[in-house]
Amino acid sequence: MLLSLLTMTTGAGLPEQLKRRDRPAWDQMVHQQHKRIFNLHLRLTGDTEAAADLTQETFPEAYQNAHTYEGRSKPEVWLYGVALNLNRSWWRERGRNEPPVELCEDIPDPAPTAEQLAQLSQQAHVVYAAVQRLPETYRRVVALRYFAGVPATEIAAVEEVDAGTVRWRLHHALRKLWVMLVHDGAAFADAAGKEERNESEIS
Amino acid sequence: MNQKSADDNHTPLEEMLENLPEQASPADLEQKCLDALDVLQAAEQPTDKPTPATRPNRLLWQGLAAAAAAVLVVSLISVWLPMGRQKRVAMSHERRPRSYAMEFPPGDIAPEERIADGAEPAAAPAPGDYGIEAEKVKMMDSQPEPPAAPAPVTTALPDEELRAGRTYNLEIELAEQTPESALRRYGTGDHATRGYNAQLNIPELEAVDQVSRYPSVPVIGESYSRWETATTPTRPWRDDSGERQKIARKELELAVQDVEEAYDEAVSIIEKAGGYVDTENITVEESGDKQALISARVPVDQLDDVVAGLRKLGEVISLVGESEDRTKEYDGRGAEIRDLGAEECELVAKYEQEKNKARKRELYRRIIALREQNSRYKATLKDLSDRTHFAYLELILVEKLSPRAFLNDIVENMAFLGSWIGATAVFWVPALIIILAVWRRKGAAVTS
Repeated sequence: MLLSLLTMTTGAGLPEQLKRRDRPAWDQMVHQQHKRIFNLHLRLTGDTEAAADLTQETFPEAYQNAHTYEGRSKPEVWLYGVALNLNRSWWRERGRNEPPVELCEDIPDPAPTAEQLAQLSQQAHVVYAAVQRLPETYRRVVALRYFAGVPATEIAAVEEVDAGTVRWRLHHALRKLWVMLVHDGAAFADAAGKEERNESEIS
Repeated sequence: MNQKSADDNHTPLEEMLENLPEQASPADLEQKCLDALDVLQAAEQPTDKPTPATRPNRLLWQGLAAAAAAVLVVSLISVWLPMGRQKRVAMSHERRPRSYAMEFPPGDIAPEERIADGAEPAAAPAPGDYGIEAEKVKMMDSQPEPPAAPAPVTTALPDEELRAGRTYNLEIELAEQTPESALRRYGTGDHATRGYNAQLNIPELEAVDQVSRYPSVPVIGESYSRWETATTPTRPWRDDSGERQKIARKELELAVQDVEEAYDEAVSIIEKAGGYVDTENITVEESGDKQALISARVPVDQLDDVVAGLRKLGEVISLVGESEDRTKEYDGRGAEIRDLGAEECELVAKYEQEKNKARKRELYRRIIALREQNSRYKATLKDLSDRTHFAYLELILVEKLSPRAFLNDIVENMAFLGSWIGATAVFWVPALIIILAVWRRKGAAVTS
């Protein structure tokens, strides 16, 4: 009893309990992670209702495939992976065509000003929309790293790639994201408009 | 440590992304999630079984199916191999050439010696059979020894009184195989070799002595018997039966439970019918399969009964019969013997009347030559008679595949296949591992 209480409180042995599909452990997992899963879906879909539905699907899907959890990462990270798979399926059902993964070597590193960052914080939906437009490979690492707070090493474990590869993907994802936010997105529309006008005047 | 520090070194953009405000989830979302789990659990509980579509179950069933298929294939091969082997054995028997002539060359040992060892030769024919007077026959029996005959060598001879000018049958047992050509030097009459035994008809006593002191091959034992005296006229041939003289041959192949037991019974059947086993051969292969080959001679009138009796010993695989009419040769050889007998009688009469020693000696030599020739003809005729009166019977006994032997064959074949699979494991085990790994990776990609 004491041991089980200890394991429940410390988290040790939780992977095994989840793998065995012990219901108390799964209830605990739902309680702890449903908000994070909901926000993950919401940021990647932009639809509250869809995010709620996907959250409700995520836990049964993970519960059903609990035996595939191999313990290479924390249980919640594995759960985020299941959520991202469902999210991808959701987008595919809507006919989304994944943009190609392009190298953006010629794009400079993002150097947002404090003003720009403040603007972005106020227009979170713009940021989410830009993330949704990222290719699948980048979108997954960005969502796991910045929306779910998973370290690169654990992302590497769940994605079955090197940590260096994850960092490389994050680096390129941020550069691409910044390009989309500055030039293609609605953010800094005024600034972009000014730049365009200046360029046309010069030319 | 470095990784953590790398993760901690956030750019302003990254910090902004991490600190984006979270939206509050619907109030009943947690309960809905729990309800969804309840529904899933309730759906699984009635059967109290794991999820039917789960990969381990699928893998297990596929593995079982693959194993079952492999066992099926191995079993089929194991069953097919012994059956094919039995068939091949039967086919090899069918293909075996039937070379009777090679196995039973003419001029073989006199049949009466083979029928009953030590039996006396046929009784001397009645004088009337020769077509000459009885007095002449008596005179020939009491014929004086020719003057040119050398002194008899008695040291190496048995107790029986030997006289020069008579033909004796010398049977010697030699320590080594002796070529026929080597023995021919010592005997001018009929001779034959079989293994280590040699039989010679020795017309001259000095030749007998030479054979008994055979220089190159040690003689283990020797026995002499009187074949025919030189003064006994050659038995003329006369066959009043009018029957066709045919050489009959039959080959019977049987699948029996126990080859040795069947062999004993077959020999018994053959001997009861007045036949005899000429050659025999029992082969026990490394695998334990037994096979017997019996070449026998059976009286022609008993052949069908013998074959019928042998057929009861097992399952008939094949039965081949053929015959060859030799009546013409039989008649011709008999006529020649009769003519030679008549000529001999005439020469004997001349010899009796001749006073001149030189001519008498010449007549004697001619008589001896005639008798030798007649003796050869007679032997040929006897052989022909033997072959026409004693049919050739070749019996092949193969072991029937008993259930135990059948199972043994299956086990042997499975062991062979197992060893083969083990030997090739270096190829297929890694391949299997790779396939399974790819399979697992593919399945894991769905959820992780």
